[in-house]
Amino acid sequence: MSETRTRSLPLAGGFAATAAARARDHEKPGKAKIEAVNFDFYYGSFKALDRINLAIPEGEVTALIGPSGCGKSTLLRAINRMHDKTPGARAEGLLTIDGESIYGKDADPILLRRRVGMVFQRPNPFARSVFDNVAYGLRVLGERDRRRIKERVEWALRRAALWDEVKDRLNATGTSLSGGQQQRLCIARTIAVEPEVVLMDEPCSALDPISTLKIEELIADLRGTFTIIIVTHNMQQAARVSDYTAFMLMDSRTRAGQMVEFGPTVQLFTNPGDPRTEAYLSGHFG
Amino acid sequence: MTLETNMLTYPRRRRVDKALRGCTLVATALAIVPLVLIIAYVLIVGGAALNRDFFTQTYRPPVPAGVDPLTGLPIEGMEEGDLSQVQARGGVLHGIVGTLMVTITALLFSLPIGILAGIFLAEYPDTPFNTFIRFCSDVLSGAPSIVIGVVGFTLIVRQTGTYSGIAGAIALTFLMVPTITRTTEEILKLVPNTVREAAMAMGAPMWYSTLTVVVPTALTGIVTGALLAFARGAGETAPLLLTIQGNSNLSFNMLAPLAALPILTYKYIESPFPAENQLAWGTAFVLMMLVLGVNLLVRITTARIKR
Repeated sequence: MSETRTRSLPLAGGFAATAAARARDHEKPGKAKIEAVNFDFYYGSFKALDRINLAIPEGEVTALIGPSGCGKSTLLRAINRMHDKTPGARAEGLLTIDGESIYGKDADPILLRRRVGMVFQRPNPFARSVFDNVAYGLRVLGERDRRRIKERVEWALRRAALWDEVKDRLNATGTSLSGGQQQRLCIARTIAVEPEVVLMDEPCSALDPISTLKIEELIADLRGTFTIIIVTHNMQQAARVSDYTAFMLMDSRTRAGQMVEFGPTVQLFTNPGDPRTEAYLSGHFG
Repeated sequence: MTLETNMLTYPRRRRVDKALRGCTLVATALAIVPLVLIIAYVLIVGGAALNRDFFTQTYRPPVPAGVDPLTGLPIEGMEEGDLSQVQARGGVLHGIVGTLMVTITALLFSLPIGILAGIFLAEYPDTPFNTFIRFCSDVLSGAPSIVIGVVGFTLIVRQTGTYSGIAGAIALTFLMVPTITRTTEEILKLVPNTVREAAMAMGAPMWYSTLTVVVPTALTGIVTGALLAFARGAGETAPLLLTIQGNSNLSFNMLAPLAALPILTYKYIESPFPAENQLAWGTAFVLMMLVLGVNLLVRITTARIKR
């Protein structure tokens, strides 16, 4: 992980420097990037997540799978506090990034989101140019140097495998691209600021098979550079793109989401430890 | 129900369908015909009143043929005509200038207030204060315009001791702010939440994402609201009567009485002189064109942006 963090990419100095410093502090292999310890999540009085325990390894791709309503999206969105504006939503227990509590008293959601980027289910580019879409996060961070912004935008678009398709129309509106291109644009926008973690909430569910394939190739390519957590309904996709898989289920009585099993994807798919995992993977329910 | 029995009711269903469609057609015609007549009449009669003097001259007293309009004295060697034969002299330049000055000033006052209030209502919907503001805004936008005039008269004209353009601009601001607030709010609510989430997930603070993503996405709608408010303000009569009073001369002084097109329409249409009645129709024509032009502008810009 550290070799990817120390890339000498030009970005607002302080930001890259702190990222590198953070990387040096934790050079243990297989270190957990995101950790949940007895983590509960509520919407008002409804308990959506029940005692989630999970350690998501750094620099790997982790897939969250499970039937609809099992809380995998809730868990994903809890990681960068996207529920903050939902009335009645609250977290209990511990959820940490690099050991720092995400819901701690002095945790700043805005600083958190600069470390944890997110790609959504439906492509949601801003109604601005392709260039401005990718530059958005840099400008949020306060980068004003046009040359550096240009370099970063090109880097991000290349990383998102979109550069060759849009390099001649960087001024076209983001919304004028095709669905698959829009989603890759959103990925470029997310990685342009070099977040440590990229959350993906069913990033391919609104895309055709060819665009899906491109996104999956992209995830494989980004693996190692970023800690990627992907929610997917598609078990084959989870098997293809992820190193680790977490299987979640909704408790039939309380309707709260629970963590059933977490482990290396190969092991979970070939030799699941829980009969419910096996039943789900073999299509018996869900 | 079998196909046969279903077929038996077919003629009846078709008759009902035709009858109801006929009703909607008649109702539409009833609604549209007077509208078309009004527009056509104003265009024809008012259009006839337009000439170069109309746009370049200010008020001139209506005098019969053979009388000098400046001195009121008979012109030597010319025969004096009767009142119905008065010369059509003079124009409404002072009204055009006054309307533009007052309405644009009002727009400058109400745009920041209205847009910011609209942003507050749409982007911070869970404040208890919110319902109260929305309620006030609705009441204000429904308030009879003469009430706004009375308020402007009492608050500003009485206090400052003079009718003035600025008093008119403030009265119009009272009218325009609620319109702009509500259109801004409605348009911002149409901006998909996913866009806000995207900006939020980029680590953008709320104010930044509102300014750089949410408002630009809704900009056409906000401009539309502003233009419609402008058109509405330009056509208001009652609040202006009580605040800017009217002025027969060309004036650029916002601190003194000003003329305005709707006031001229009101004054001239009552006049016993046909020449002044003509001017009233002319001003009505210009006001109508203003509203029409603004609406066209709105349609063209929104169509271009949607492309």
